[in-house]
Amino acid sequence: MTYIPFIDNPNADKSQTTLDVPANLNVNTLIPCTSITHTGITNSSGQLVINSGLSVLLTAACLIDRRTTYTGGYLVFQWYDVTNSSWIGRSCQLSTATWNNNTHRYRSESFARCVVIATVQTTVELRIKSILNVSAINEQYDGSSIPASSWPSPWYSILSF
Amino acid sequence: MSYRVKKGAFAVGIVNSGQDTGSGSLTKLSLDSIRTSAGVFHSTTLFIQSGLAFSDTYFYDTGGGDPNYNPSAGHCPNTTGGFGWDMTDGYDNAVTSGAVGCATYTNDELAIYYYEFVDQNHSVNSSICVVL
Repeated sequence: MTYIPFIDNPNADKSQTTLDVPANLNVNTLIPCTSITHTGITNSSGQLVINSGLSVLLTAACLIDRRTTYTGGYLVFQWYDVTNSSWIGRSCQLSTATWNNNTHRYRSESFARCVVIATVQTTVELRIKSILNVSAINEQYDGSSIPASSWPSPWYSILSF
Repeated sequence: MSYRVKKGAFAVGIVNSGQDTGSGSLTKLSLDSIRTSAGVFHSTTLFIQSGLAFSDTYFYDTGGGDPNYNPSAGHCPNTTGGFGWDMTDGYDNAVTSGAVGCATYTNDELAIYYYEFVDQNHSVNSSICVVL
């Protein structure tokens, strides 16, 4: 008989907080992570600096608003390894649609995620990978903040050990 | 009676009864079943010592009202984390975000908090909440 033991890792650290508004809506623009307190990881100008030796699961979900364009649009965002200049993990696409056109009737957007096993100090960031007809990211179309209570909220999380 | 899961364990909560929460208020969905890697199974209440939790929900139309109209809702494993957002297929969604909510737990109850903005004969089902 083969036993598959459950590996209890009480030293894992877990954090979750918000994403900020990017400086512009162009491809390759940083979507800033707000400050966070997490063992072995620091925030530097919206990027995450991961200490060597850490294994990390990163997840992130943005919010988009296309209200000034009135056509369907999308945003694709993904984690990017700045140290090694490469996209990492799986991207996420958020889509908007016009009234009842069923353009995006099978919605599947969830969140961007990646795993980083840092053998050296590694800097990662969340980036815009592709974008069309989006008026705002992580804020409302008129530049106002996302309402605090119960609205969908841009967030990211870190699980590390 | 309630249980408390130690740090490092894994838990899954499922909503399979179909619940119509009404709109305009933050509601804690009732979990129909909970399973954990620590071997605990309980149907109602479970507290997590330390964890990272994700919520996911699914609407279904209970009949009546406008098809493909705009039920939309935010949901999160606690009241202060990052809310995910669900809306009906085909809705004119000028705003959208990731469909998964996320929060950290520190001695918090495994739960899904749900805020429905518009109630058009829809209920929520097949929700899960995972803690790592």
